[in-house]
Amino acid sequence: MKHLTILVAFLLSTLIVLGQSEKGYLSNNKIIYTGFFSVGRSTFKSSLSAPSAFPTLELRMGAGISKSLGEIIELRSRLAFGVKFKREAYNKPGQSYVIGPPFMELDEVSSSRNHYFLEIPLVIQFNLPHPKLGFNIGANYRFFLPNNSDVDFLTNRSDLGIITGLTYRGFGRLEIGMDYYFGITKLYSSAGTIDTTEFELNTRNQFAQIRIEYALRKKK
Amino acid sequence: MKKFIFLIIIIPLFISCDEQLANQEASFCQNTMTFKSINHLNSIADKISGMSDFELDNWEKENSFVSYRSVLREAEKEWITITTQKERSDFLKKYEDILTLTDSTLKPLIDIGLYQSIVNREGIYQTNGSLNKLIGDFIVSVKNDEYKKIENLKSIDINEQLPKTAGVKIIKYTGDDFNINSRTKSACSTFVQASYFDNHSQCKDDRRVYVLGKSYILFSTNFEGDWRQPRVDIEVYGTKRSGVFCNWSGYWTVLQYRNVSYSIMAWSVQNGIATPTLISKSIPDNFNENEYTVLKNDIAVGSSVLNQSISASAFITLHAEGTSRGVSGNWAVVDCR
Repeated sequence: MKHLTILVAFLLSTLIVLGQSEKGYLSNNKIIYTGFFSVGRSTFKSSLSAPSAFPTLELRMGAGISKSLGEIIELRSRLAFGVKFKREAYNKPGQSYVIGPPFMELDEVSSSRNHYFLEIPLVIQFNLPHPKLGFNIGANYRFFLPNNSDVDFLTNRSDLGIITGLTYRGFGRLEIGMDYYFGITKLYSSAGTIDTTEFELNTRNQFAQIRIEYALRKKK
Repeated sequence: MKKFIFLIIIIPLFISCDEQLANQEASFCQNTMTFKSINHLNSIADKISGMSDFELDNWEKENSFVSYRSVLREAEKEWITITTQKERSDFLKKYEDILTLTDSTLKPLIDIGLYQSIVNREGIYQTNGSLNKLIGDFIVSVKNDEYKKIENLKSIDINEQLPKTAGVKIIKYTGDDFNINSRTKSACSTFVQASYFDNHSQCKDDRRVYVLGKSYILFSTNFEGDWRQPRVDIEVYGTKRSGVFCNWSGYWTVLQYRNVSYSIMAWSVQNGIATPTLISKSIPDNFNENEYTVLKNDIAVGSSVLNQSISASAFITLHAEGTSRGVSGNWAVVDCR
């Protein structure tokens, strides 16, 4: 965690210095709007070794905004609506369980229902002129929507984390990219005893996604 | 005329059922299991909860009884042979009285193993003088000669006032109890839960604490074959209202449990032979002062069973109390027997 913090601080400071040295800072100060769609794989990252990461499919779509801070730097954000689809449960009602304690709740939450969320990332993107690649890093906030009839550890909860990604900009208005997100928020934390042995389990979200963005105004 | 014919048929049935009860804990009349008293029901329940599916099949054959469980097993066998949409809709029509299809999974309308074994396809069993029909989370009771009152009763909507008909008793026997006074006294099942609602402001400051007991079987394999271990999980967790619209969510808080004890049928293995055994346990209190989303105690009960299909036993008794920091020192109490 300490290494990640240092890395992020270093990268951000480098990007800010680079941005300030760009000649075209003021003249390129444009705003571009984008449409966005992504498909990804979401998992739970547990502090104890788990028999599964309980992977689920996630889809997102929304609108983005990008503001140029120079020739090679952009500040990007978007508002996305997403769904974390439920998966087939390992532990089926009325049958013997194959996932034991303390991971049963993770299986239950990932399989009980679809979880809908809103998401707002804020990233700084560093664009290489050749090849047309971009690297980005920033913070990602998402909020799992309420569901008063089925409250679980994701329901009505905020999830904050670090998102980083790669973008290829070689298709005119269309961009494709890949992102990786690691949650800082501990969404699930259980403790107690299992067969008289004390335990503590903390769980965070993580996901990887493939993203397509379409610029509504052509970039120059 | 119709009523008269019905009475002519039904009255002798119940007379003959009563006669059969003289020397037995349970008898079987017109495919309805009949118990002499509540003690005999408990005794049979203990016996049944220790039986495997195979043993239950034999026991039913010996007594010429076809339980809800047997019909459900037949349906499950039939379900896996279905290949077309037409077969599927015919199947659902045929078994609409005992199961539903939810997210491609068959779900029995009665999901507690013990009740599945003692009721017939209609969900009915008989105790001395009363007919009891399981409908959703409720047991509806009438006198033996008042079968007509429950014959066509298919559902009870908990959001509406319960039907009030003279001579009809309705008891909630399973499902969540959101009673504000937190006490759940009910019949035991494999999952029993109670909650305490601390209503500070009818909105943002409201808290709820839950305490639950769950009995389940954990499956594992090794070179010897399939192992099944009965386990019991006791959990305490809290929820709170937050946000502009005061929606409920889980949260980190200080959680505690106390006075946890239960008895349940499990297995003991001696000389390689597994025999059903009554296990009673008391769990030490846990007054943890750290914050978590869930506090739990999960423990194996009895021995693992090798290469034998067993299902989770309902608790015979369970008492547990749980609290969280936000509920003003109140405790949710679950108590079943």
